[in-house]
Amino acid sequence: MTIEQPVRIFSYLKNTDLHAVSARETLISLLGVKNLAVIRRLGLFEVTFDKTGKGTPEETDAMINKILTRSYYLINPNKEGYELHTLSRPAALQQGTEPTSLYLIKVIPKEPANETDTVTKIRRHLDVPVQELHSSLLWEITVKGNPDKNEITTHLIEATTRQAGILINPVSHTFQYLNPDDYYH
Amino acid sequence: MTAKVAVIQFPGSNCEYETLRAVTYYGLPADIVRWNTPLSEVSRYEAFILPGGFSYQDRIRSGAIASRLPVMDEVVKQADKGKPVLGICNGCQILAEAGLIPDKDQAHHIEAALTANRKEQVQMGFICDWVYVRINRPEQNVFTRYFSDEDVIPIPVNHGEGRFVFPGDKLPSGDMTTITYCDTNGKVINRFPVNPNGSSHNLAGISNRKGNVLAIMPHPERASFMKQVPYSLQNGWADKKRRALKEENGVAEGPWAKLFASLRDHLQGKK
Repeated sequence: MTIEQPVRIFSYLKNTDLHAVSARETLISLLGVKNLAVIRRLGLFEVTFDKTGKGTPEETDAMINKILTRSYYLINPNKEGYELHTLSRPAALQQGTEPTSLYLIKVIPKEPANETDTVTKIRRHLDVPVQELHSSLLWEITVKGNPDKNEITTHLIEATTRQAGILINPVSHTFQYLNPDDYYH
Repeated sequence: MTAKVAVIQFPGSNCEYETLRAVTYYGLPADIVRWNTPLSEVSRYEAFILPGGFSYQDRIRSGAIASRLPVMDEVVKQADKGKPVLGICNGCQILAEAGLIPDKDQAHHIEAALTANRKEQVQMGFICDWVYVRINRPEQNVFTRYFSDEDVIPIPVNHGEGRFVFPGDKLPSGDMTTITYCDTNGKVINRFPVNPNGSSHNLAGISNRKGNVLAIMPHPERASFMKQVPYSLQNGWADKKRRALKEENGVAEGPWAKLFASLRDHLQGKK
């Protein structure tokens, strides 16, 4: 059985993520988003291996672990943790009696960076047959209640003016709502 | 004399003192004004400068958080009244995130982004170097009106996210002042190192439509005295520096003195 590609690697800061702290503070205190519960920032690496390479789950995980533990090409393991394939559901959803909603946003640059340099280095220095690599930023947002997605887009995500939205500047980036069922275990 | 210019200090700003020095040396009383100063005090200034640095550590995105502070409510209000506002480097990023530049529809929508530097489509990281720029339609902005569109002016850049991006890669239309990277002969070449960060249309700075707001990524305060200009510069600047320092006994006006002089004369009512 071969693993489904691309393989997903989710990274997060082991210590306090100040970007996420400030995002939460700014959204609540300056932009008036009072129903925001938790916001978390993650990195997502989508790695495709050569079709001629080995593809069983164990072999794929071994190749990924080789990249993650023997290099700093994707993450710095001193300060970053990671999860493979799917994410753990955020604690805020599992606790408390108040209904909450979870949104997972993928930030996509309108002019994607060229990652062939990193792919070349992984292939050459680690002898791992990576074919393609796409890295992106994820924002995991937990809000109280069940607001409309348009509300989340307008008031949290898309900064069209300084009064609403902050997570992306739509001139340079776009975004996508990911289906949590596909990304969490 | 009552201070006329507010140099706004955000948490993480680091160029406010040298900016203040350039403003005051060229004849304008100025204060460093903290971001949390009561707005009633902020409003009494006649011009505002947002200096360089790393406000809020560039969290989320450079300039994103600072642009949403209450002090920026006041800066926007005063800009709408026609008061001059200059954003340098991080200040330029803040102005873009506040919708104050290019502001072609004058509704403060966010119409530009400053993103990660690129060299030939590959991310290249932080750049710290001297470059050359020329100013297009300099007479249209209060800060650049003393320059000529034939001037080729050296200026240092010092940033990691200085690449201007516009919707559809189109420069906003209209007769706004723009500042573009060029070579030592004034030729605008859209390739590194003439364009140091892959900026759209070689843009280094841009005005708003009214001509009272200027956002510039390079640092004019670091080229406002001749002693700041490195001897390694071509195009005769090293010779100009030697002559100027010899004649003026140590202090001589640098290539960007005219920006601060123009602001001074504007605020003093001189045409």
